[in-house]
Amino acid sequence: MKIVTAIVCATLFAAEGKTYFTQQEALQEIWGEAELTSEQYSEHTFYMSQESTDDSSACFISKRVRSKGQSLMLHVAADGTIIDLVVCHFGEPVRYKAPLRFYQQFVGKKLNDDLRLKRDIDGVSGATLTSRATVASVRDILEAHAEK
Amino acid sequence: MILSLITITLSAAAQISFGGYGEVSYRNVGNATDTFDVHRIVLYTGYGFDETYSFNSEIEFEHGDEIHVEFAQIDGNYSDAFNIRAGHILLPMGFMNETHEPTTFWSAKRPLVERYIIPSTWHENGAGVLGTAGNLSWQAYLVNGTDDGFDMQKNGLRGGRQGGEKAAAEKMGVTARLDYQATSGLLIGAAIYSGSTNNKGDDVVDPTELDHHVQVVEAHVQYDSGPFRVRALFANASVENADQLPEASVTDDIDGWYVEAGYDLLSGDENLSLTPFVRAEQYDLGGEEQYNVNVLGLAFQPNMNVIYKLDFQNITSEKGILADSNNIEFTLGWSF
Repeated sequence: MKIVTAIVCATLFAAEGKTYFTQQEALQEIWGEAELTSEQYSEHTFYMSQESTDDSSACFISKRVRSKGQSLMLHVAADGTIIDLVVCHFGEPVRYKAPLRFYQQFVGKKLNDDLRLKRDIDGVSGATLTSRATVASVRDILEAHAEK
Repeated sequence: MILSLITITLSAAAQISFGGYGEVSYRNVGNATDTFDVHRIVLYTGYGFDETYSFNSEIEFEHGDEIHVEFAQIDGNYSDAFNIRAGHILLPMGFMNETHEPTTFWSAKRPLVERYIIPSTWHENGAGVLGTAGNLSWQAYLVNGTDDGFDMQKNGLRGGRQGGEKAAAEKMGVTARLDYQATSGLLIGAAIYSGSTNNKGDDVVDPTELDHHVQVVEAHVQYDSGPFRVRALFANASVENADQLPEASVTDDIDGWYVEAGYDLLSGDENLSLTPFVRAEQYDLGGEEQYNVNVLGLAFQPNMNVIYKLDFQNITSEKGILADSNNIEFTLGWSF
């Protein structure tokens, strides 16, 4: 475990596309200016607040959509329930970005075999690759979280 | 020095987007020559200049010997709610005009309503704004007006498209679209185009110089949840003084609709798809050109970027110039 004092997202986000939140900004949306700690599971870094009592954690991931990446932050409760999903960066043209309703579907869900497109998650016609990248990203993080 | 060049090259490469899609189709048509066609090969390229400005384009090779620029635009991405687009753009009409990669629809060919009433693929030169606010998305553009070279009873509005190729722009048009994602699976939307016609040099000159104002309206709804998807679209197009077009029309109004539904039998596997589907479609190009089209088909995706499509089409018309026909079509499609 190490103290995280400053997080710079330059290595995660490419210059192209739209950045909505840096990693630091996204974490501040959850915990404000609180000091953070981090833990590593399956190559994923989970950030936690030392001042929070709910034991939730947040993790970032970037996956390719078409030829550019989408970077997400997943805020996860201690029991693995998704609290929030935030799109931090979307590198593809905006027409391929999924609508807000798509991302909202993940809130309240946990890792199970139905957390997939065509089951508990409705895809987006015209943004199929974005839908698939998002589900894969969420599952990767939740699988790592399950190791905690 | 070499290291610097490599660094610069890699940096530039990181800004480049590349993709594409294509369709190869076999048509066994009841009352015409059967064909086997490399229908389209499309290459997509883009370049991100910085966080705000990017270039995106599609260059299409059709039937092996035609080349079209389908879009070539500069996007200024300021925020989700407000962006600017300019260049050669796709008009935001219907389901197919903007999103027509073969893996996004099941049938071997696009619905005919989105061929004749909405003349997809419809792309013109222009500029406008677009954005999203929560679950609402919107677009609005000013584009060059259509040409007056319609032959409405033969092919609806298709003859009016200029495609950006030295487009006549004495008269302009506006187009706008609004979509609402009501639930994660339910999309409701509508779009409009309104503009006057140009008289491009290669047509017969219209001696009356009448204004042939063109208006296209469409409404669409789609429910796409789990293995089930149904979509429906209605479109109407009107051309003022259509009886005095260079190719006189017997009516000012043409319209059509379709309803399509399918069920993915392999929904348990997100990497495979096997979807039987049906579509009922009707379109009226004026006069006696009224057609009913029923499609029964099967679409198989062994990989979500590859699709095999097999359709059986029954086209009937009581009096139309096209004879009734039963067709079989097979299309291999891909996108990446």
